[in-house]
Amino acid sequence: MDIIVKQVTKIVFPFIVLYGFYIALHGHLTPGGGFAAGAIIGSAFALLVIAFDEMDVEHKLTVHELIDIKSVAGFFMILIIGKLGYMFRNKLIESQTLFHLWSGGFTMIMNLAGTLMVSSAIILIIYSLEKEAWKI
Amino acid sequence: MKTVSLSRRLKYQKVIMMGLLVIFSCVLFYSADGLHVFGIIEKGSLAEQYLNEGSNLTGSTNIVNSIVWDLRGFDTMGEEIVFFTGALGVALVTRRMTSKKENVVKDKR
Repeated sequence: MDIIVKQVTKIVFPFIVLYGFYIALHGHLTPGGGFAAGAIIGSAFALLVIAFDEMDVEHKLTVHELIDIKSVAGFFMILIIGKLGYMFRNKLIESQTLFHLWSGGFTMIMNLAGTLMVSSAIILIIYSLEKEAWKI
Repeated sequence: MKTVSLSRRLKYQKVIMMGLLVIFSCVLFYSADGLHVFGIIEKGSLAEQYLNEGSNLTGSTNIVNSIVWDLRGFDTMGEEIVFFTGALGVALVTRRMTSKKENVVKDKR
């Protein structure tokens, strides 16, 4: 692509990722949540792949690592819903106040785990469509 | 012992499947008749309880998020697994076709 697109992508990319994590952390207070945050982070990587050529991009994450991240996030989700949620959920909610950042029981952690799962799935799709990631 | 020919057996199967289909559609229509009217919240229904007590039950002020990730968290986990399976399918279809020796080296990372 153009040098303008490349430079703007370099500047904007970390802010898009930051905004995605903001949406994930505030998912229980403001509109948004795990799915929206994961889509935003995945779209940042899509921008990176579109703007730069295949030779310029050095993938920090391999496809195998993405699959590992995804399965670990899924394991955490099962753990949170099944065990920790059953044991500690009501006590945690009683001790927290509404409209604060640290409220919502396990909803925030669930949002983060969902963000990891959705974003890694989208990045996995984009990388594997690009076909360069399998070289590593 | 009398043996039934294949074409005849297929005919029997068709008749049986048609009968099952009619019964299944009758059950579906019967159950669709008992659904709530769209847009009207009945008193004492689950939707009303979620709207009134949702933020106190889950501690989060975003009601949609509290339903999706907390009260119906198990469903959401299933959705995520479906999504993951789709992504894995894309990765499997678009992977590089290489010889067997290279694949062995790749699996060791």
